[in-house]
Amino acid sequence: MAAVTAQIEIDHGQYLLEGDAGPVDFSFTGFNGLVASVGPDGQVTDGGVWGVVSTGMRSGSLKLTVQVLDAPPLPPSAADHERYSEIVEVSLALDGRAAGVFSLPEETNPWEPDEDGDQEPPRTARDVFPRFSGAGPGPYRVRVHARGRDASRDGDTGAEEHLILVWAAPIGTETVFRATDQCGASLRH
Amino acid sequence: MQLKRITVPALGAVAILGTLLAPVSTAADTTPQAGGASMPATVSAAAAVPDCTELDKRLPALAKAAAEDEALAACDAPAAEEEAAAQLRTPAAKELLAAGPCATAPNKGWKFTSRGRACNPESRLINVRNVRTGRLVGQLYYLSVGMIVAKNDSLTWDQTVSMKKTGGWGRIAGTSVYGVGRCASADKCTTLFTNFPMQRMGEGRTNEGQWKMRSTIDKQGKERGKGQNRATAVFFNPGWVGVAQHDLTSASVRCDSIRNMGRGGMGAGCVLPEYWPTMTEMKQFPYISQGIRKVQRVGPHHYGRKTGANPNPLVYTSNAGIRKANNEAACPASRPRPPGQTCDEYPFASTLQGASRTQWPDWGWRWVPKNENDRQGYQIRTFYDNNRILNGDRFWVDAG
Repeated sequence: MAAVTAQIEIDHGQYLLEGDAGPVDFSFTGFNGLVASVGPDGQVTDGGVWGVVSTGMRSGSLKLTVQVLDAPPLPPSAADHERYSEIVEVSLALDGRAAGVFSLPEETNPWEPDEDGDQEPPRTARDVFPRFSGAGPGPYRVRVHARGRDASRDGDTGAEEHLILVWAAPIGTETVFRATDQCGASLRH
Repeated sequence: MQLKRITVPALGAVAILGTLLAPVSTAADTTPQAGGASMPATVSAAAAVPDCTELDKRLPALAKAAAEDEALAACDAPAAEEEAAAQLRTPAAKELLAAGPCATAPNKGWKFTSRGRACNPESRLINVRNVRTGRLVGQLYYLSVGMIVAKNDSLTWDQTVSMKKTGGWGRIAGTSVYGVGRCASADKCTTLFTNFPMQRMGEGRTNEGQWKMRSTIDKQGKERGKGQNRATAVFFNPGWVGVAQHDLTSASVRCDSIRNMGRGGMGAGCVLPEYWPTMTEMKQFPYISQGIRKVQRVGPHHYGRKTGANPNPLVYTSNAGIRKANNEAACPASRPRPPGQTCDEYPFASTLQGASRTQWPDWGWRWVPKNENDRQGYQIRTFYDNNRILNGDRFWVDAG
């Protein structure tokens, strides 16, 4: 399936991976510093019902690529290690046909359709990025790659980029392929 | 003397009354008859009286047209304050109001007790007059409690009314009540059913009516729309010329398919937007709540604080450009940052009171631990989702 690359709006230093499960608080205990798979009790777990990705920037937008795969990919290559400072894989059990990446605000620009109903509603992350259901009902394995978080945190807009690969797989423990940026270090304690 | 039925009044009287704008039923609103009563379920617009001031004006015309010497006409009016107070002390009133949010001063319109509930206690009476002499020949006192229930995860909403006769005198025996209601063409709703059949009013009985409405917004279409149930209680007595009626129109219910779509299991839903909810989720964040309390205390507008002389709520904006401008004004990324801390701002960037649109000290910023800030983002969003906060909605923040 094709990858989609677009800007995602960031708020409070995060964006979300969600499905039908209701929102819950999040305890940062045991957080790997990039992506958390969160259970109904708000604790990091395997096969959580929602997920959160921490960004370097507190707010703004970053370039995100999401690709939903038919089969598991190879482990990250040397080139991937070169390009991304953080690569972490977690399992998520997200229900619903619209499960996937969502921004925190998930609403953009006041909009009322005109009398003919012609005006297009604004597109949010849900409209733009492919839904995980393209790989089936789940559970999903999600590999998140990030680069430029530190520079972004220090004010370099445009530095931060993320890549997410998604495929269907049984629930497993998280795999940290690479964890080298300062953002991650400060979140792992 | 035999009292004639409703169909008897002379054509002249009907023509005069026909100039009224009476939102009473047409054939489409026919309600089922309880127990096969022989009263007509539909009432022509011409025979209804909107209120007692109208009746007083029409008495001379009715008198001229009346075939009988003793024609009676009725109208519905709010009880005066002393009467209402006395009525609230009756056992019937205590039973109907019981405990709860509806046990408030009556006749003040819809009272919003939460984002999804409203009630409207009313203390009213029906005046019965001799059409020829204008003399008051009877009064029926009743208490009416209306309720609206909207759910944040459903596009259907409900309205109910409970009525109890609490007293009266004179020519009121045999009075019945029934209800009609529909969404108007401008309302984004449709009536699924009306269940308020004609029923006798009497001490010891409670008269019940209910309506179920569904929003007509596109369930998947990023739409928002308001609607009201234009409801009426109709009071009928075979001894009266025409009927008396009372407007029970609901408060406005707003439904949307903009928030919560495809995530969190909620989907489209409805709220009562006239209720401005209070966010209390910030109390759990020590540094953030301290910052909010300070801005609410020292800022001349005390934005978001519900108490005080001239409270100013926060106003949510869905405009991404405004959010960005607020974030950049309050927390520029270039500001040197202590390790482990991120910048927190109040009022929130997602409001029209954010830093790019407000003068210091009506806004403020501070360093707070990063994980407190990240969790705050999630809590704010949960509050917005649960309350279906849309562009322009007002809310309060209680930070302890």
